Amino acid sequence: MAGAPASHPAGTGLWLLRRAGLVAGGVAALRAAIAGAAASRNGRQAPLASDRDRIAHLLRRAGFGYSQDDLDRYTGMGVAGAIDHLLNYERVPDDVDERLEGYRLNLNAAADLQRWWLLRMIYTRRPLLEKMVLFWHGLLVSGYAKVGLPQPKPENPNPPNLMLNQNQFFRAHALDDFGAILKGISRDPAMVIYLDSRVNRKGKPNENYARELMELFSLGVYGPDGQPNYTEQDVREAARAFTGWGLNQQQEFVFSPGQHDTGLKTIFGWTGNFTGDDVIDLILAHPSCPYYIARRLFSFFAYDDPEPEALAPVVRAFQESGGSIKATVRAILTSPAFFSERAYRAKVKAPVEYLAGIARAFQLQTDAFGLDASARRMGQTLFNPPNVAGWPGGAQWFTTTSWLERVNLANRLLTIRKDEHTQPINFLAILQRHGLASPEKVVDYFLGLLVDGQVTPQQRQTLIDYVTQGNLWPRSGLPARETDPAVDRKVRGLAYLIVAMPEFQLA
Amino acid sequence: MTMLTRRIFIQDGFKVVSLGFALPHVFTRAVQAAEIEAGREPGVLRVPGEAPNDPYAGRTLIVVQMAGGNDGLNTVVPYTEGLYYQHRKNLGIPEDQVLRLDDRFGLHPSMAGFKALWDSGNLAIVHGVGYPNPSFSHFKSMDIWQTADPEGRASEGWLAKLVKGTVDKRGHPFAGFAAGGTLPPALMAPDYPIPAVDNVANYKILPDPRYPADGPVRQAALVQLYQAHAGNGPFGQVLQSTQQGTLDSIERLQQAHAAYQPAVEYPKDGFSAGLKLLAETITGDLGVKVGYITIGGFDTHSGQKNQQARLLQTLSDGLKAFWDDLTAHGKAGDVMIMTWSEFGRRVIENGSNGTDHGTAAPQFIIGQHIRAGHWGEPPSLSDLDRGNFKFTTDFRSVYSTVMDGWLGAPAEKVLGARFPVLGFLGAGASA
Repeated sequence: MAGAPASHPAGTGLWLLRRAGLVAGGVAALRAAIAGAAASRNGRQAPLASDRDRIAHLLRRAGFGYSQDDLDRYTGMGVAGAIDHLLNYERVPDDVDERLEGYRLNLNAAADLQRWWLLRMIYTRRPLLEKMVLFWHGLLVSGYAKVGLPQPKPENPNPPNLMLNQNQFFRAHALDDFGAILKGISRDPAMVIYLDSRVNRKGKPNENYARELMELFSLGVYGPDGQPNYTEQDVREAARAFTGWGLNQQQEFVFSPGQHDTGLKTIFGWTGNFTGDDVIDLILAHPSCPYYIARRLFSFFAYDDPEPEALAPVVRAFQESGGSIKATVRAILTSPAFFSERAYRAKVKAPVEYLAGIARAFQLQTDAFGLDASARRMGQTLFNPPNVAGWPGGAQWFTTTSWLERVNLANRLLTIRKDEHTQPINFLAILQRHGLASPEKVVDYFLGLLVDGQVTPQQRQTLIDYVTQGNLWPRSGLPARETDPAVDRKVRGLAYLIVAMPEFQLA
Repeated sequence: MTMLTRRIFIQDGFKVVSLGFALPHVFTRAVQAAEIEAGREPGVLRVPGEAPNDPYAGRTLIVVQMAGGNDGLNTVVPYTEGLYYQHRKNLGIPEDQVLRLDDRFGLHPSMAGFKALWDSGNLAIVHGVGYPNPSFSHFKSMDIWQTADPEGRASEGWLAKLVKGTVDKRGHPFAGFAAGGTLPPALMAPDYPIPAVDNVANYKILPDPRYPADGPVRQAALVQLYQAHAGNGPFGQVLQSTQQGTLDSIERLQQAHAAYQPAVEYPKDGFSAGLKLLAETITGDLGVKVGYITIGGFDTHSGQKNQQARLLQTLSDGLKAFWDDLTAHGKAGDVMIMTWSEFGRRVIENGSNGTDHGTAAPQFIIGQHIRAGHWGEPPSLSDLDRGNFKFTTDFRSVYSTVMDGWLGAPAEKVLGARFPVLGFLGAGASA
């Protein structure tokens, strides 16, 4: 595993002490001082310096966050082992489908369809798989506003659920070769409706699919050299090549030779009587394609606007593997850039990542009722992105409204005492399990779990002051009952404050 | 410190501020105040109502984005031209169905609301609006319109540049306001949080339901956590400013919401719900200089007839209700509305009862103080560029006219260049 060398925690502590000019007053005092420095951290330790922090970073990016148990389990594998475990998800037994069956969701309804996917993000043991599905949904976009959701009728009781099927296509091919994914999605019935392939006929071409295929799905408007990747004429010619691709009465993909324009087309300077698959092959051979896909994946997992030297090995992995997404993602997750300081907190959590991240951190037991609406109000409606470019992400996730929705979602999930859809979090059990017998200990524990302990000293003090305010903490150290206001009010409030704070909004 | 900053704003009565960069939002305010006192370079826009005899005081611009690329040719229809019906064999709107404006143009039949505005002299149409080397990508073209930069180099929205640095009497950043939970790129600047609101009822920080009395303590801690955030990294600033902007806007918006009574019945759809929100901010005197709302779905590659008819009806009925509501509240004279879309559609229809991406299209201007009628040159239906219109009016001319003539803002500062001013703002508007 290529990454920053693992530093010894005690070494960091010693360095801090030396810097502070402390002189060791006996081994015991030194040990206590080191323990204190390591526990409080105060953001002085470099980010991503320990295996634990790298695993946490990995699980935020290649998954949807983690619980204490997840962290312990993956840290036991080592960073390289954890990456293998995530990438080779087909070897990992997953019980998420059994769990979902228990909820009796109506997948023909948008809310339940969204809950179905949210629950997968929260409970799957194959988090990278679900993360890739989210990537593809945001790259090869379709949405139910145009595609529609199934409407069973007496004469047609089981119409196909095209958005669900597309999602399952992404799941089946999440780390497949890009060519297979592109050829598959071009035939995907939801896509065929969403970008009008079904009405693209010989003599009456419709440019919608051809344009977005090049602009958004595979090449981008401009290449790395700043030159256009294709011309308007290429779009028009490619549209002709896709004529005849459509759906039958059962909404299955069919090719209708009579609707296909067999004439000569010139695309990227090549001339032939190209078909849609030929266009995809020409795209795969286009020099900008590896760059575009590598860049999209790198930005999704690591950070935006990568330096050419950080991107180069990823592009190479794509090229040398014949467009294998698995090889490309592996190249990203194992690159020094992925674990670099620049990558740390360089992504804004998408609303579903924020939501699933809270649920995972506290091992929330929920059927996700109402969480679909929360995600929508935070700006992310699963199965229905705003347009064919997907969610813009980054700073655009933050508006005054979406920020309020985030902190109010945190409030809702962390203050549940009784709810038929979501079990309350047992904070007392967490305190007992980790022996958190003082405001400082409880603050440091949750800061460590949720934000790697990487906060400013003022932030840590603010949280300690909040827990201490009102003098609710018992003299005995550990609160005895869950209803003790020290737990029920202050620890809940503390958990709320940490997941609401800027550091937890970032991934 | 925040309070002190606000007091300075009230006392010195300065109307104009400029923002510093790379400082947490709460601190930039102090810097602004200091800069004002030092008489440094002002921003571009005035704060409403703070200076006596300011002809631009209290004026609002409402920008309506028609996302997806509206087919302008079937919106303002040249129904007397034979070529139009040749290009639009299936989609052409018959002469007897258009809402006739004059002997040359008619509106789409579902735009009765706009027809009424035309008849009352409150509607201007700017023809053939576009820009050189048109992009046929939704996203590139939207970027160009939203940043007012055809080269795509600008990093801030043109409307954000316009309102950035303005605060109201109490220091609240309400100069810009977006209806809907999404902030349009036109209103984006990393250090200037513009509220984007879709539902006032949800627009508050909820306390722990069991300990509502703990709410202020918890919220104070939350604010401190944002202020004490290390602030490095690409999103530190936007996080801090979003949090600050939210808290600043909650109270006043809730007040305006409670006081507002619509004077008309609005249509029951999301677009009109957003217009009502905009009406609340205007009737509540929140100091909004630029309000923004989006109606989407205009990308009519297929099935255009019904889709566009439905959308134009939503647009037209909604804006007519909005206009009537403002009129009843005595506010219509303070408001000007401008529509835009990233491009028009191909002049020649496609084979699937739709139209592919095109170029120039008309823009609508609605207001009391405008010179109603046609502005700009309607593009030729015979002299096409590969099936597309050649634009006749640069969209930055429209922007310039609105900024100079309606808001009293130096357009050149926002656009980085001078563009010809059009005639749709009469003497009554440019004071």
